[in-house]
Amino acid sequence: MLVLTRKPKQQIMIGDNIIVNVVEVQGDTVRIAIEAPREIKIYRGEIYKAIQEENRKAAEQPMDIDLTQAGPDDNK
Amino acid sequence: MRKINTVRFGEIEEEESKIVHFEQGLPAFEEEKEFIIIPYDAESPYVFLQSAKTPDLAFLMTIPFMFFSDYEFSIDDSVIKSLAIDKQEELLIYALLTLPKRDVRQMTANLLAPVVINTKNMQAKQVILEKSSYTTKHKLFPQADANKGDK
Repeated sequence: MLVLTRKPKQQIMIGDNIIVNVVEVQGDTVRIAIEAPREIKIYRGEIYKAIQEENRKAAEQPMDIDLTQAGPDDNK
Repeated sequence: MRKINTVRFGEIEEEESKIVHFEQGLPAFEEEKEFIIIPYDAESPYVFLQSAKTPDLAFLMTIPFMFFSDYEFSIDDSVIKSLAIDKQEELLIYALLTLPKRDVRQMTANLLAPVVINTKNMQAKQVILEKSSYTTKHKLFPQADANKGDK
């Protein structure tokens, strides 16, 4: 892992086409602007974590659930 | 034909052309790249997404539009590219379900990260809707709590 120290308005280049700009720092909050090609996916880390966690829960389903009475029209 | 061992359904034979390929796996299951879809039953809105390599890994999914009629999202360029999507009509969209404490009425759908399958090439991805207001837990039966007191 590479650890860098940057000041507001300074940048980090990742490869030739990703630029991370440190916009401002206020207390414990850092605003970051990222310029990257459209095909690069950028997520807040916690969103990805939330989906990992939900997928783990979704994988632990009981074997013998009865869904025969659980159609969209049984929505009452 | 591919033989697939499953805990729920025993040994299944499936045509290679029906195997769904998740090139990057699913979040938390990055090594699971091949699945098959098994309907809960013929009339049911539910299907299982059964791993082709791990017998005891099966997710429950539904067609989200059947429960959430106003559900909508746009698929961004990177996903269109990676799944080689041509036409919207060739897509299958599912939402993964979580079922707390065996209570079907409390079941929730992950609308923040729908599963998108391109039926033309069977490439699939669990897409994260970064800019949407959807969450990982939308109740399929929102009235279930309200009715609890009556029983």
